[in-house]
Amino acid sequence: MHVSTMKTRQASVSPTSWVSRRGVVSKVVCLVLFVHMTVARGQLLERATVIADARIITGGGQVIEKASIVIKGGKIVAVGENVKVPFLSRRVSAAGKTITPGLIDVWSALGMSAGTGDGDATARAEDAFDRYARDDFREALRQGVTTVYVGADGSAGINGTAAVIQLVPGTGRSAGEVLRKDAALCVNLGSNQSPIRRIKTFASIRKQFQTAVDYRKSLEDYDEDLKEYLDKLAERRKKDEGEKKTDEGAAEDEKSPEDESPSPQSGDDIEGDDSGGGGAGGLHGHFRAIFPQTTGRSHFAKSGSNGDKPKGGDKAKSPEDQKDKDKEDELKKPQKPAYDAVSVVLLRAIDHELEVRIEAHRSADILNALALAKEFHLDIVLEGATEAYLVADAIAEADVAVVLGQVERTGIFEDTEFRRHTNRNAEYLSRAGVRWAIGSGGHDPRASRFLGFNAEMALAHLPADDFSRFAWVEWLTRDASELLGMSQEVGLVAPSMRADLVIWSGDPGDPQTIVERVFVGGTLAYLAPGLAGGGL
Amino acid sequence: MFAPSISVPLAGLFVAACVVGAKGAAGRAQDSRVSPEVIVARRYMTPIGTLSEKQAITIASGKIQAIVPQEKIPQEKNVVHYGNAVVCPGLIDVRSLAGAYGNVVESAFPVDPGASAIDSLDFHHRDFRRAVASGITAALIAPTPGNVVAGACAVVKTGGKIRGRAGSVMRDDGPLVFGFGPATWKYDRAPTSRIGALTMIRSVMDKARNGSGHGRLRSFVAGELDAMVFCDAAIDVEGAIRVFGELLPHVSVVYTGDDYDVVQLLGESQVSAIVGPYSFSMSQRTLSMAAALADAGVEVALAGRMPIEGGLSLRRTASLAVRYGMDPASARRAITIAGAKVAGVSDRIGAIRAGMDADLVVFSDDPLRLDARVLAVYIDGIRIYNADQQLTMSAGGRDD
Repeated sequence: MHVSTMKTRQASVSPTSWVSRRGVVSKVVCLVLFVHMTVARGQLLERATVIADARIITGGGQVIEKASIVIKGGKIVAVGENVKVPFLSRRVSAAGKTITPGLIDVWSALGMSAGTGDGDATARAEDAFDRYARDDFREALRQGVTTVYVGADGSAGINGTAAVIQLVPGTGRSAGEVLRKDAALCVNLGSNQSPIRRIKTFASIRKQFQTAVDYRKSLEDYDEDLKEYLDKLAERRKKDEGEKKTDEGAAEDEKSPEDESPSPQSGDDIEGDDSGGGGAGGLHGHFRAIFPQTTGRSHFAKSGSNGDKPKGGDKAKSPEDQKDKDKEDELKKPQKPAYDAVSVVLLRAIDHELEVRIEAHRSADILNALALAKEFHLDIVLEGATEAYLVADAIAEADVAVVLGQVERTGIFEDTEFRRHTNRNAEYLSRAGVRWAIGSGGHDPRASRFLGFNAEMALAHLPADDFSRFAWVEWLTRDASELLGMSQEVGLVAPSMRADLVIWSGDPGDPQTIVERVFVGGTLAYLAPGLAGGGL
Repeated sequence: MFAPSISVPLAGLFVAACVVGAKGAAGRAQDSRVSPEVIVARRYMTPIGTLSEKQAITIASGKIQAIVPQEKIPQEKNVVHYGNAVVCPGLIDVRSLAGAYGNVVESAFPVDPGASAIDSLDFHHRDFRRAVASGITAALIAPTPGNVVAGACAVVKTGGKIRGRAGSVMRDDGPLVFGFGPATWKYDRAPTSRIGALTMIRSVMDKARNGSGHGRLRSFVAGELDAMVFCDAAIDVEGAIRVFGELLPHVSVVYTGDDYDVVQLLGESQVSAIVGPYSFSMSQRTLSMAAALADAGVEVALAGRMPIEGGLSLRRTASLAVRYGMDPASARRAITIAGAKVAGVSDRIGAIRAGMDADLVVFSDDPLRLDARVLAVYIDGIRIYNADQQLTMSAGGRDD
C-alpha cells in the first residue's frame, strides 16, 4: 500500500489524479459496505413471520382451527392448516388464540373530536381528522379496530367528502394515516329538523346538484361557442386575406360575416343564459355589446335578427372607416363560465366517481334520498336510516345499501328523528333483501372502539337460524371492505391481503376476552399491557 | 228448495272455522303463559355469579323449589327444555324510571321523606313490556334526587299475570333517597349550598334519633330502613361518610364520577355502590370504575337506567365493566343479587336458590355476551315472554 502510494506519487505529476484515485478506492469501499448493509437489512425486512396454531375467523365465513398465517412484506402470503413455512421465518405460537381481520368501522367519527362545521361539498373530512389523537386510536386498536371511515359530519346539507383512515403504529409522528381521501360525498338530510326546515334542506341540496348539471351544460356550451368562434375567426382571416389579395374596397363583402353571425347565435339553446354566469340583468346590455356570443343566447335573441339590431345601431354610429375594429367587436371570444368548485365535486358524484352517503332517519327523508339518487343518477348509500324498516321495499327496489349506526337508543325522547328507532331494523332490512352494513354511528368519536359490541347487539336481534355465531365479524371485515370498495386490500384473512390482523385471547364475542396484539400492514400496532414479545 | 241446502253446509263450515280459530288462539295464549314445573338448560347462574352445568330448576307455586342434577328430573313433571341456553335470575335495574314520567320529586320541600316514587308510576306504560323483553324482571324506581331527602323508592316487578301491565309491587317504601350535591340546591329555598344541605341532613337525623320527624327517617336512623345517596363527585362521597357514620352498612352510594380517590373510601366504609349505566362514549377511566370498586371489596350493583337508556343498557353496562377488568361473576351478581340487596328484596329475588321467587330469564348464552338473545322470561313461575312469539312488530312503533 505504502509502496504503491509512493509509486503513484512518483508517477503522477498532478496531485489531482492521486486524489481522484483515493476517491475511487473509498467509493468502492463504501459501495461494498452499502450493498452489504442493504442485503442484510433486506433479508431482515423480507424475513417472513408465521403466526401458528391459532383459530382463524377469516371474515369470509370460515373458521379454521389450528391454522397458521404467513406474513411477508406487510401482506398475508399464506393461510391454512398446512402452510409451507418459508426459510428463516420467525414463528410465533398463537395456540388457544383467535385471529380475525382488523375490524373496519364504516361509519365512524374517530379522531374527529374537534368537530366539523358547516361545510360545503369542497370540505374534506381529512382536514378535520386529528391524526395525533393517539390515545383514542390506542383505545380503538385495543378493541380490534384498524380502519375507519370518517365522514364530513356537519349540519343538514352537503357537508364535504369523507376519508378512510388506517390506524398505524406509532411511528413517532402520528398514529393515523389517510388511506383514501374522497371515499364518499357526505350529505345530511337533517332528519332532526322541523318539517319546514327539512323541506328547505332538501330543496337546497337538490338545487346544488341542479346547479352542477347546469354548470356542466354551460361549460359544454362554452366549448361549442369557442369552437364556433375559432372557426369563424379562421374563416374571416381567410376571407380578409382574399380581400387583400383582390385589393378591392369591399364594403358590401365586409358585411357578409356580420349577417352570418346571428344565425347560429339565434338561440338553439336558452339554458345557456342561466348557466353562463353572465351576471345581473343590469349588465346584460354591457355583456351583449362586448360578447356577442353570450348575447345571442339571451331570450331577446330568440327571435333571430332582433338580437342583431342594437349591434347594427352601434355600427351605424361608428365611423365607416374603422372596419377592422368593427370586425373585432363582432367576433369577441366567448367568456368561460366562472369556475365552480362545489359543482366540480358534485359532478364527480353525478359521474359515478364519488359515492354519495346520505344520512336520513325519517321515512320521508329516506324516500327523498332515493328520489334524489334517481333524479341525478347518484350511487347512494343511506346512513342511519332509523325508519328504513318502514320503507324497506322501496330501498330494496332502488338497490341501495344502508349503513346502520347505534343499535340501542334511549326510549324517552319521543319526538326526535329516533322516535321510531327499533333495534330490529336490521332484521326487517334483511327480510326485504336490502344490503346493510353496520358502523358505530358516525357522530361519537369514542363509540368507534365499541364497533364490535354494537354489531353483536344487532346480531342478538336477528333470527339465530339465519346468522352464524360470527356473522358480526364478517359484517365488520369482509362486508365493510366491500362497502368501502377496498375488498382487494383488507377485510379477509387470505393471501395477498394486507396483514391487518387482531389476535384475541379467546372468543371475540366474550367480554372477558382481550385483544392481545394488533398488526397493521404486518407491523405490530398494539400490544396488550403486560404481554411480552412486543417485537414479534 | 236448493238455497237452504247450500247455505247450511256453508254455515256449518263457518262455525267450524270459528271454533278451530278460537281454539288455535286459545292454544297460543296458553302456550305463551306456560307454568312449567321444571326448567332445563345447559347452564344456570349460581348465587355467586358463576355458571354451572347440567342442573335443572324445579318450580312449585311460583317459587324455586330446588336445583337438581339433570339426571334426577322427576319423570311425571311438566318439563321445558332450553337446549344450550343459560338460565339466570331475572335482571334488576336499580336506577330505572320505567313507567315513571316527569319529575319524580316535589322540589318545594327540601326534606320530603313522605314522598313515594310509587305515586308517579304508570303501571300500564309500555316501558314495562320493553323491560321484560330485555330480561329485566324487577326495577327500583327512585325519586329524582333533587331534594336533600327526596322520598322512598318503589320496587316493582316489570310483569305479571296481566299482560302489558307491571307486576306486583314488592316495596312501596324502598330505600330512602338522600342527596346533597348541586341538584338539591335551589335559589328560592334552603339549602342553597353543600354545607347547607349537610347541616340540614344532620339536623333531621338528630330529630329522628330523638323520636320526632317522619317515620321513615326514624326507621332509617334505627337501622330498619336502607338509604340511597346520590353522589356525583368524590366530595359527596366524603360528605356521606361523615354524615351517616355508623349507618353506612345500610347505605348504598350511587356514584357517577370517575375519581379514583373514592375507591379506597368506599372500600373501607362497608357501603355498597351503584355504578352505571355505561355507554360507548364514556372514557376508559369511567369504564374501569366498576372493576376498581369490586377489587376494593365494594359490593357493586350496576344500573341500566331504562328507559332513559335502551333495554339492553343494563347488560351493556355489565359487558363494558367486564371488558374493562371486572370479574365476570361479580358482573353477573351486579345485575341480579347486588341490585336486590340495594332494593332490600334479596330474600325474594336476585338468585336461583330454593325458596326464591321463580323470576327467571333464559338467555341463548352468557348474559354478559351482547350477542346473547333473550329466549324466555318467567315471573313468579309464569312465562310472560317467549322470543318465538315476538315475530311481528307494530308498524312504526318502538314496541319491540
